[in-house]
Amino acid sequence: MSRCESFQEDLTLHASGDLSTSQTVRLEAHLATCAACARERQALGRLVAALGESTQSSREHEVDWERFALETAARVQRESAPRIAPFRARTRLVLRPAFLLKAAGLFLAAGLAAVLVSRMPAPDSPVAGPPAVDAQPAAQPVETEVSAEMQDRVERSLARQNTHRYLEQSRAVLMNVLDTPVRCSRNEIDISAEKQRSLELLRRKQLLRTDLDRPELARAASLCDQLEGILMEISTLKDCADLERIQDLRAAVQRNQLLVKIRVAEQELGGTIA
Amino acid sequence: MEDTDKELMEAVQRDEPGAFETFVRRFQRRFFRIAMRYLREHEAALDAVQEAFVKIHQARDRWEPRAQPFTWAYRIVANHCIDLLRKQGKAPTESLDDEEGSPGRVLEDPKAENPEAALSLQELGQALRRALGRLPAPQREILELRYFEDLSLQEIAELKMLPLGTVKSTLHRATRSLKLHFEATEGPSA
Repeated sequence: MSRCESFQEDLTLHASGDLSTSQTVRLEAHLATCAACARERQALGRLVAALGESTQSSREHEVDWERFALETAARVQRESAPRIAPFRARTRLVLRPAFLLKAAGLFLAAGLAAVLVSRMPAPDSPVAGPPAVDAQPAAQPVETEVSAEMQDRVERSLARQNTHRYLEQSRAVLMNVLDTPVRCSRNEIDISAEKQRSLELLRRKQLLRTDLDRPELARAASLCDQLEGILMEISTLKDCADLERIQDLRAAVQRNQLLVKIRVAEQELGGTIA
Repeated sequence: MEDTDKELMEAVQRDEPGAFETFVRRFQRRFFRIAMRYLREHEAALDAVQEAFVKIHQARDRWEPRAQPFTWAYRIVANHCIDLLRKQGKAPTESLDDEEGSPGRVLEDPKAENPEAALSLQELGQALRRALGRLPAPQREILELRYFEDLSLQEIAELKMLPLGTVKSTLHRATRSLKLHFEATEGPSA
């Protein structure tokens, strides 16, 4: 191989700006002594420059990119599904005794205040007596009554919150699998993360059973049962799932309108949380 | 000092305020060019880029530090464009034809200050497009990724799962072939 031939690839990479510093030094020393290679380098440079110039979209410069970035960030904020990663963290937060105590305390305080207010005579009541005398005898029975009622309210509220969260996380998994395909290869989709999350959700479903047995959550329970089938299917796929299997899943989700049903259920549950 | 792409992506994963906005600023133009290559319509490409950013944000927890954030996100953008084309009943194609946004078309800018220069650039663009069309698909793709989408050789290697040396030699062969085709039809560029 002649000396010039050994520099051919370097000439191209030099023109495209991809040559390392040491190779550049070596090539430029050669170019200083070889007119043929220097001419070739110039021709390649012109070609690369022409390619570079022809890449810009005619209207790329018309876009206000600063505004586009702000609008995109705002849209992302609006449309992003709740993230899945903090799943365990959030679950831990909800199930943490301190959180439960705090939630129960808040409900108790609110309930107690409501009951006391409802039992207090109106300011303009003609039978209003001295508050200290009237309030004292009522205090004991009220406290017993409130704790039972409040306990039930706390339980109902937590059941709704847990179900809401379960559905929210299931929706995020489905959306990731169906709408954000990251490919392992041309015909394979990387679903390793979703598989793990599906398994977590299947485990969570077992823990949620008591909550889902509540009559007011019957509809959500039926939806969770439908989701269980899909999650089970995801959890049994290969990490790099065949595109065909994902398309089948997508068809099943669409046929059963699962994403729509989840959103409706989320709204119902979210809207009724006390 | 500006964060590296990986540092920025880690900040995005931690949901640090403003991190994703910075991510958008850093990559929006490059993603726009990718979307243009597939969709070839300005407005459609802008919409597609925004939608792809939403998907990227939703999938942020799936990025792993061994991958370059750009190449990871590139796949999401490209797949989203392919899905859009499929929904429209169009076959995804990366070939260059005479549509808006293809290399030659870009040179038809009526606002160009020098119409003669614009015309000559337009002709040059068309000639390049013809020459590109004659390259074997793998060579053309490497060339487009390097020059049209501004990917580094390392990024191309990661994206196409090829050794860096193969990318370098393919780029070299593609550039030489392009030059030969170009000179054969348009005369020597030198």
